[in-house]
Amino acid sequence: MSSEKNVTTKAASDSQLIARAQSGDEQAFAALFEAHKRRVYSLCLRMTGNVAEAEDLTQEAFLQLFRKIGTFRGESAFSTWLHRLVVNVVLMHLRKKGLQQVSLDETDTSLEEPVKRDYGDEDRRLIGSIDRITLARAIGKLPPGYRAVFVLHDMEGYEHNEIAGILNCSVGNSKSQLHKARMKLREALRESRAPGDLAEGPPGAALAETSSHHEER
Amino acid sequence: MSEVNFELNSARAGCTQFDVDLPAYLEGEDRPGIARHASECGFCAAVLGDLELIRSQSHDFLFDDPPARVWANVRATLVAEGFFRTPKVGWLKRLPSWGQIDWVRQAVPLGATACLALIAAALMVSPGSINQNRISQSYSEEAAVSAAGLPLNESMDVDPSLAQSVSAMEKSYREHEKFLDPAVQASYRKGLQSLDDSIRQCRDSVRKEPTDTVAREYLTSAYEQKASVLFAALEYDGR
Repeated sequence: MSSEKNVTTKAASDSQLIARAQSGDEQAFAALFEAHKRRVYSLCLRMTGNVAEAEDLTQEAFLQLFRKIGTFRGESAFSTWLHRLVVNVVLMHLRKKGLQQVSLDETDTSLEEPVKRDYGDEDRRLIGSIDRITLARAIGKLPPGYRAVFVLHDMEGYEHNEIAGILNCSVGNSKSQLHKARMKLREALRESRAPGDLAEGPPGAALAETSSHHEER
Repeated sequence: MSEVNFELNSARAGCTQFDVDLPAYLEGEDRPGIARHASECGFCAAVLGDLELIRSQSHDFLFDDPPARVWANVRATLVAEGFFRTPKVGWLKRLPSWGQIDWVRQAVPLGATACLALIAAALMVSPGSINQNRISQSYSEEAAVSAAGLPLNESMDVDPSLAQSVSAMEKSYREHEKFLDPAVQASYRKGLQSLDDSIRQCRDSVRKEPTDTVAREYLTSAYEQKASVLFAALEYDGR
């Protein structure tokens, strides 16, 4: 109830600010920037994995927002509109850089690739919580295409059909990229951890003893 | 030996199926084999636990603040592109349609210019065409109103030295005006009255919104224009 009230209040506040910004009120521009800067910058940072690029893209996204704000008619929530705009700005940037990983074409074979099994360490798992710096660093190391899907789905809450629309790929492709991204993240996080930070697997795992005999797939 | 091989092959098959089903399971689809296999296979249990941990931690990821220079750059670009419009103050609020026109915002200097133009025009008018007594009496009355409207204690919204100078000049002008040509007096009166109106309106705006720097700037500008007009009037000796 309280969160519903907050959402309503925020929407009303946004709508007043937008109306003022549309008439050129500088304070309204500043307030809109203040209200949305963290979300926009964080999205840019996660999707690029680079602080300098994230700053430039945040700047570019807000400039585009303010240039287009006169066309905002309130058919969708302002935050949704802004979010879409930011994602487009970032993707345009990544495509301009010509990074092949951004392309999520249908020839992706990620599901055909097996889970990498590192025998001898197979029964150890990440424990507790992952600190945000380590996680941010690991996300930053993901190939841009994987990173984009991971950020949009696991961090920003987009559905696969939405991601497919944004990235111009199939739903199945989005799903496979996400899984591959998660597996790569796991790998990166395990590599970044000292052996003492990894815990034994659940007791009673019947085949834990024999897994060292598995062939690496 | 064959029992061990059978167990191993069975485990491999279970892990293969686990790998196939895992993405759908993490998407929330019903895959009972995942939990079953994870309870039997330490490796797959670790994979499942890690992926669930990564997903939950990513979802709760905190946001970062961009550096202050990002807004500074955005603002500078918007200023250069002319996005911001100055909020209307005082008399501009009463002229909503005109307020959109840039030159109207320069009304204070324009008013002063118009005032000087009127003075120049007045110098070319025959002195006898205006009733001197009526004009003198009229401005004396209005000067009293002006003095009452803009005393020093009400001029705290501008630089006190500027306000004091204007007040002193106005006092001198009241003594000086009786020696002026009636037409010149009328012109000065009109100009000063217009500036007093501007000052009053700007001052009201400043008092309503003390942080309104634009209104404050207009107020100072109006005082400066009034000082210029009074100085010109005191210098004028074409009586």
